[in-house]
Amino acid sequence: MRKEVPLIVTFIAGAGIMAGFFLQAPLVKVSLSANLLNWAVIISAFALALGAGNLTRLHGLNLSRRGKNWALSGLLLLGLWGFFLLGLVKGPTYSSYTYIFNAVLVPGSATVMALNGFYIISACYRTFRMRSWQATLMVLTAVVVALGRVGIGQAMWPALGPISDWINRYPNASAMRGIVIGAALGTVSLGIRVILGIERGHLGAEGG
Amino acid sequence: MKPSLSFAERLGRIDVRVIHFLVALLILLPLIRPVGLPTQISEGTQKAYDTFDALPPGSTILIDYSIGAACAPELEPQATAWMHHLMAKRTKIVLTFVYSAEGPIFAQKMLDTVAKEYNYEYGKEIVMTPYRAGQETALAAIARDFQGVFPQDYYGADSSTLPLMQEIQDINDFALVAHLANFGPDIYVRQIGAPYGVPIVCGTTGVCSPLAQAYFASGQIQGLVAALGGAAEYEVLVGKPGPAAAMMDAQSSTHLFAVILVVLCNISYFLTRKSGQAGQGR
Amino acid sequence: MSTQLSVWLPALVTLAIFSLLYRENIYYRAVEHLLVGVGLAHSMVMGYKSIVDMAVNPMLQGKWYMIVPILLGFSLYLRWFKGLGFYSRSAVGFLMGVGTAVGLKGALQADLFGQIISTAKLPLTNMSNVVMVVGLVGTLMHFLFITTAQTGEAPMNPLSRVLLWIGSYVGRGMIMVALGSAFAYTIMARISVLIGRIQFLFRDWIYLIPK
Repeated sequence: MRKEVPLIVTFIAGAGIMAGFFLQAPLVKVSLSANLLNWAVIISAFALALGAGNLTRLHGLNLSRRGKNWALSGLLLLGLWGFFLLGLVKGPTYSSYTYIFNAVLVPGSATVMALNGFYIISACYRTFRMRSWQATLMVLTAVVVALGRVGIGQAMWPALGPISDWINRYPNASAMRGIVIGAALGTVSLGIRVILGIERGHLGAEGG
Repeated sequence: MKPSLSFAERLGRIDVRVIHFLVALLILLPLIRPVGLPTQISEGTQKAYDTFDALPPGSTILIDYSIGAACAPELEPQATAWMHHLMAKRTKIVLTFVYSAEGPIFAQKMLDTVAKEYNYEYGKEIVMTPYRAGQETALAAIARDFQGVFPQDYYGADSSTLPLMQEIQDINDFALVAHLANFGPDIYVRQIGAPYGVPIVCGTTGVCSPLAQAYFASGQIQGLVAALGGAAEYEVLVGKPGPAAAMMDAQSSTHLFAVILVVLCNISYFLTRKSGQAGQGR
Repeated sequence: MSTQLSVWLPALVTLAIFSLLYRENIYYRAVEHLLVGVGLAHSMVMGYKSIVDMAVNPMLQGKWYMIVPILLGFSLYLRWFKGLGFYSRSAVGFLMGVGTAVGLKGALQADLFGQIISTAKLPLTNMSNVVMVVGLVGTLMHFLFITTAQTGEAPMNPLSRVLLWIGSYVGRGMIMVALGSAFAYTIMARISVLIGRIQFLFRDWIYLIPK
C-alpha cells in the first residue's frame, strides 16, 4: 500500500485535470478540475516551508553543537524565523517588514546577481576563442547582437540594430522553436508516464 | 629564469582584476557624464506598444508583476513605462504574482508613485492580488477560477467589496494578459494564450528573451519587451525617458568593452597558435 | 554622502557582497546567511497568506472538504520524522499529477501544435521564412536523429544519411547562432543589474552621480 496509494493519488489528480480540459460537464470542469488546481496551489504553499525546515535542522544542529561558523548559523536562523514571525504577526504591508525587505533582501539579491556582471565579462575574455566553425559562428553572433542591441553599436553602424533584430527573429527563433518542440515531446511522454504510474522517481527510492 | 611572454601571449593573459576594475570604471563614467546615444526601436517593443495602444480606454487587463530583486534593474523600468502608457488610457489593471513572492513589494512601490501620479482609485481601477505558489499550476488555477483563487486581495479585503474584482470571473474577462518576470512567456502561452485565446504581451529579462522569440515569431505572444534595451525603447515610445535610458550609455560602453576583449583574446589565440604555442587565458 | 540609515544599510549589504571579488571573508558570509534566511522567510509569509485565504477561511465558512489539501500539505513535513516519510508521498504524488497534467495539455496545444502549425503556415516567399523553416528542421534533425546517423544503429540508405548529415550541420549552426544571441542577452542582463548597483552606490549613497 505504501507504493500504491501515492500512485493512485497521482493518477486521480492527473486524470481529473485532463478530464477537466476535455469534458465540458460542469461537475468535471468546474467542481473536480478547478478544485484540484486550487488544492495544488495550497499544497505548493506548504512546500515553501520545506526548505526552511531543512535549513533549521542543519543550522540548528550546527548552532547547538557550536560547530564550524555556528554564529553564522545563528544569524541565518534569526533572519529566517525573526522575519517570518514579523510577517506572520504584522503582515507583509507593515512598515518595518518592508524596511527590512528593502534594506537587506533587495540589495543583497541584486548584488549577488550583479557579481555575475564582472564574471561574465572576464568569461568572455577567457573562453570566447574561435577554435572551430561552431565557436566562430557563436562568437560572431554574440558580437553582432551585443553591439546591435545598444546605442553605441547602432551609432557606429545603423544597420546593426535591424541585423541583430533579424538574427533574433529568424535564426535564433528557429533554433529555439526546435528546442521548444523537443522539450514539448519530452514533457508529453514524461507526463503520460508519471500519470500512469510508470515513472516513479518522484516518490523516492522506495517508490520505484 | 622565466622566459618573457611575447606580446601575443600577454594579450591573452590580462589580469582578471584589471578587467573587473575597467568594467566598473566603464559603468561609472557614462553614469556621471551621459553621452546620449541613440535608441532604435525593435520590432518586439514596437508591437508591445501598439498592442497596449490598441486597447480601448477602460479595458481590464491582468499583469503578472513578478519582479524580483535580482531582476529589478531590468524589469522595473519596463514596468514603470508600461504603467505610464496604460494609466494614461485609464486602463483597469489587476496585478498578480505567479513567479515572484517579492513582486508585491515592488508593486506597492509602483502604487505609491506612478498610480498616485494618475490618481488611480484602488479597488475600482487597480487591484493587487496576493502571491500564489505553484507557477504554472497557479496560473492554470487563476485562468480557470479567478474568484476561487483570490477570495481576498493582497491587503486582506474581501473581493466582494472591490468593484474591479467583481467584474472578473475567469481569464476571458481580461482584454489582455501581460507579464513581467525573469522567465519566458511559455506558461502564459500554454495556460492562457492557447486554450483561451487571450492576447499576451511579454516583458522579460535578457536571459529569457531568446526563448521568448520563438513564441513571438509564431504569433503566440503579441509583443516582447526584452531586457534593459527594451525598457529604454519603451520609455522613448511613451515619451518619458527614465532610468533605463539613463543606464543605456553605461550598457553600451560595457558591451563595447566585452567585444574588444573578445577581439583581443582571439588575436592572441591566432597569433600564438600560428607560432606553435597554446594560447591559454588565465 | 547620504546620512539616512535606509541608504547606509543597503550600501553596507552591497559592499559586503562585492567584497567577494577581493576574496571570501566573514562579512560576505554573514550577509549571505542573513540573505538566505530573510529570503526564505518572505516566501513563507506569502505562502502562509495563500493557505489562509484559499483553505483555512473557506473551511471555517463551511467548505469542510478543504481539510484535505491542508492535511496533504502538512503531510509533506512528515518526511523529517524517521519512519513517517512515506506519508508525504501522497502529497508529492498529488502535486506531480496536477503539475504534469497541466504541463502536458499546455505542451501539446501550445508548444507542439502551436509552433508546428505556425511554421507550416509560413509562406516560403522570402529568405527569412526559408531560414526559419530550414533552421527548425535542421535543429530537430540534430536533436532527434543525430545519434542514429552517427552510430548507424538503424539501417539507412545513402541519400537519407546525406540528408541527415546536412540537416544536422544546419541545425548545429542555428543552435550556435541561438547560443551566441543568448550569450549577448545574458551579458546585457547581468550588466544591467551591475549598473543598477553601481548607480545606487554612487548616486544614492555617495552622491557622485547627479540625480
